[in-house]
Amino acid sequence: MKLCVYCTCMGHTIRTLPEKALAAALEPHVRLVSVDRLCHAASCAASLSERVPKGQTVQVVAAACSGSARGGMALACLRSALPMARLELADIREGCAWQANTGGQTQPEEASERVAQAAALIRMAFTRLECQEPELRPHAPGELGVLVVGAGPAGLAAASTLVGLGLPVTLADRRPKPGGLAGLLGKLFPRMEQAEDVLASLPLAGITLRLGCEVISLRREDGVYVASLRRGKEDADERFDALILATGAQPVLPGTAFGAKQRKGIISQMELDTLLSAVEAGRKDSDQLAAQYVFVQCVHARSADKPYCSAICCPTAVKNALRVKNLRPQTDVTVVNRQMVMPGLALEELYAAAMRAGVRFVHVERLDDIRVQGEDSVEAVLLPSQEGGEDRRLDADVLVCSTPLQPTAASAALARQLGLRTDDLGFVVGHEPSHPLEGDAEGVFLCGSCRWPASVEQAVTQGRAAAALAARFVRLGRMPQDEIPDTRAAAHIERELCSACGRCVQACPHGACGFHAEGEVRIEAALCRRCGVCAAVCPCEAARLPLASPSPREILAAIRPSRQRSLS
Amino acid sequence: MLCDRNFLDDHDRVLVVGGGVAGMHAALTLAALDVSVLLVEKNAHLGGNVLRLDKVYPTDHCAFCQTWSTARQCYDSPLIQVLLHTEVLGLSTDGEGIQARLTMRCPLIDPSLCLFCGACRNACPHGALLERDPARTWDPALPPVMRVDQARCNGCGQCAQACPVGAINLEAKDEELIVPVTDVIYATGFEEPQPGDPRHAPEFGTGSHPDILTAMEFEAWQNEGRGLGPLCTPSGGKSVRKVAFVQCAGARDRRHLPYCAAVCCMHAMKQARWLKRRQPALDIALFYTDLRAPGAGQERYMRAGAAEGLRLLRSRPGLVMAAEQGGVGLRYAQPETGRPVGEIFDLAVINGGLGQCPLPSSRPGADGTPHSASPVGVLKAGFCDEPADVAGSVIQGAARAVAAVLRRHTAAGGGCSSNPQSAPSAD
Repeated sequence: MKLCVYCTCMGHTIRTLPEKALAAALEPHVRLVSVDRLCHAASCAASLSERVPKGQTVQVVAAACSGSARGGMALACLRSALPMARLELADIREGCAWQANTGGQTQPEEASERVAQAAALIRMAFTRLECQEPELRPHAPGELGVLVVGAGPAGLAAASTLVGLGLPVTLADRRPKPGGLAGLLGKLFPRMEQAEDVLASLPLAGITLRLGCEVISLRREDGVYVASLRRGKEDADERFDALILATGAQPVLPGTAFGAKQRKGIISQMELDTLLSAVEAGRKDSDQLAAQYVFVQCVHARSADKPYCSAICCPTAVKNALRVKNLRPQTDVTVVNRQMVMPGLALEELYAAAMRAGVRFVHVERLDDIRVQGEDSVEAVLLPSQEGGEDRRLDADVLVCSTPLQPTAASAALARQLGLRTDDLGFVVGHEPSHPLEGDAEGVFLCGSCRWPASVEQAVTQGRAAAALAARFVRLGRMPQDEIPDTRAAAHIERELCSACGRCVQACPHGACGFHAEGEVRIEAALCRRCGVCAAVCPCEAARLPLASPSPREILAAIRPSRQRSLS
Repeated sequence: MLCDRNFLDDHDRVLVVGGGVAGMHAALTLAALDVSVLLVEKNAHLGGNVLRLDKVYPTDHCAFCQTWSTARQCYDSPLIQVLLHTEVLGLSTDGEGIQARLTMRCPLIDPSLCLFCGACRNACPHGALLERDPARTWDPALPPVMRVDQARCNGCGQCAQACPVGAINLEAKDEELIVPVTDVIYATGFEEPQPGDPRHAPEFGTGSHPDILTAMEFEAWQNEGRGLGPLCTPSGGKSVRKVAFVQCAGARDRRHLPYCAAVCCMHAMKQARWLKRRQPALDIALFYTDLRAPGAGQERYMRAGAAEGLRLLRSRPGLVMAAEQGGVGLRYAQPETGRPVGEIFDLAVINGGLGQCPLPSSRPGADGTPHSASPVGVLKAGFCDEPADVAGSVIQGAARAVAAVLRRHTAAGGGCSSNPQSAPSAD
């Protein structure tokens, strides 16, 4: 169906271009609908919602002002009123109506000339729509839904938010239980809530769960994402509109730090957390806690091989120090740190609370200088003093290593399959700082510790934000940055000229050019950014950007009526 | 066009207070989910504090380019009504929705029309038109605008007649509006204390000497827009050889702001590295309490700074003041020995004390409209909630917006979709 939405611009254009005359000048199968102000969303939606049949492919031309005036906004309003339609702009205000600036009476012959010119502009716009490759997406946006990979707090928050926004969601995790790393924790900083309460506040209702199910591969095909999911020994492909990566990270283990293999009493913060949770729940007695704890920060972090601050280890140590003090006030807790990373209001309060509770914080310049005394089990920690005096001795029964989170190989591999960048450590790279949850692949959004170590609170916030971005992408079928609509289509391949040499497939920076069935090269319209690299490398001049000036077909469309008249 | 009055027709909208990064992203997210937004900003333009920055860490990209494209999307979005020069006086609830009391300060010269041609200045017999806002030291990113000095103006109106674009309206009055909204998202951001404000503790000497700059003053001073010539001190044009950055000035301090503002370490590191790149021979010392770089790529950024020869000193200076022999003197305990020493620098940058902007309901002197402590549907995003940098504010803005949308759905009976195409059950 062809529809022309005529913006009368609050009466600014209708004097020169009466609606009836314009409708008569257009082809009979083009329906003309007039709107007072196409660039005002509410009035536009109200006038159009009832007049457009549902479920039909509609070609819509907005007959409005120029793209450099408010034409772009007019298209944005139309896009929100008619999300499925294919849109084009015809500038009949500056380009036609306002050229008839006679000041007074318009001569009848001039008026009909203007109407004919406007009709020609509208016809050209319809021809542009026909020249465009039909959209590859064979289904309505949102029909396939969103796949969230990883059921930690970030993934759960993203999935439950998408359910609230009315989109179909599938949540996949290789573990049989949702919760991720947070499922192993007791209390959470900075508000000291129970992890299970926080996870329970992210409901699973309405989510299609694929637990115990590994995501083998992710790829883009025909405008949608295809995920290969493996459950047991069965592989199955499923299709999605958008993806959210919430694959998380894994804690580094203390390993051989401070001779942990030979000595007893060297544990990680995760192990301490498990013990503390058991004592808090009454499953163990508080006597199980040691009398003297020494926490050492930045074990295996901010080092030569892991040159980053994992951001969550300092707050975790302070949280656990406070929990020890609450359960058994007579216990000594000393936190040996290079510096305490507790940014923000809530964390600073937690830090102050720990100091008030009697937790000691000791600063050292280098971790390499720390030595541990004791043959079979930890007896004391020796810190080098400044100015070459005596070493400082901290008696300890248990040494707790605060280790960072590191990215998993699986999450980095999935990211790379999608064309996302990962840094040398394996964290997935977003567009810092202005679009941190968006990577290099369209329709893929990042949240949680797979992009950078995040607390549960941050992971939930990021999951919600990623869900909003995914919902937005599914609606628009493109990245939010491109929201100011481009009236021009993607690059295309002239089939008769193409020799299928594959240079454009190699060269395209956005992965839009690809081989399809029968060795034919096609350009995925949803991925094309109109950069022109394909046209530049093509030896046959088959890859082309849409022309900036009217194409011969557009010009022919404009002069068709006069040609027919002269022929008859 | 300052304001489209038709926005009052629409009652079903969310109020976003503050047009900084968090507010803009909250508004864009709401609009993408088909919710009308009223975006209120007290300044003459969207963009907030980030527009005052020359560069953003950790990429050292231009701050203006990224922020302005977001601002353009807000201005262009059909579902976002932007109200500039507007502040929120208070909120009141009647159980159903929220009534927001707004005040619009109509500027005498509309900045969106002013061409900065100077015709008004030539026409004014009293010399009341200024080319530069003395309070705005940081506007190289925005086009300049003429401004009326109200102390000198007698309202004769000759400037308005002379203006070729009709940008001047001397009769413009402030207006109060009462707007019903369903939800409110505060994204008022942070404010840096003015030089000499007690929130920068007096020992740091801001405002006492032109060579002692606050971090934001320094950002404007070193702005690339001013050219890349040799650096000269603001006081006397002496060439700069030694610069000190003082962190946590007034922050993590029980007398002023007890918390860490989370962004200043990286901000100072960015400024110091930028100086070092401009003049590699500069001696730059950075005094810190804890050098916090917890975000993506930040530790690496810090390490690169240390490798470039910045002196990183774990010490908080106790005194920053103009020295008798010229320059700025710092007194601090040497980190290795703990002994107090004095050192003279050409320039000192005082960083810290970024305070959360007070929210309208708690501001003293606001009108007495009753406003319960946390009415349904009032959320906070960005720095005014929890200190956040650009990336954090982007995430928080979007997350709070989606929370507001979900709340509206539950309030409207639950389960309905923002996107009729995607929910066949809505029909």
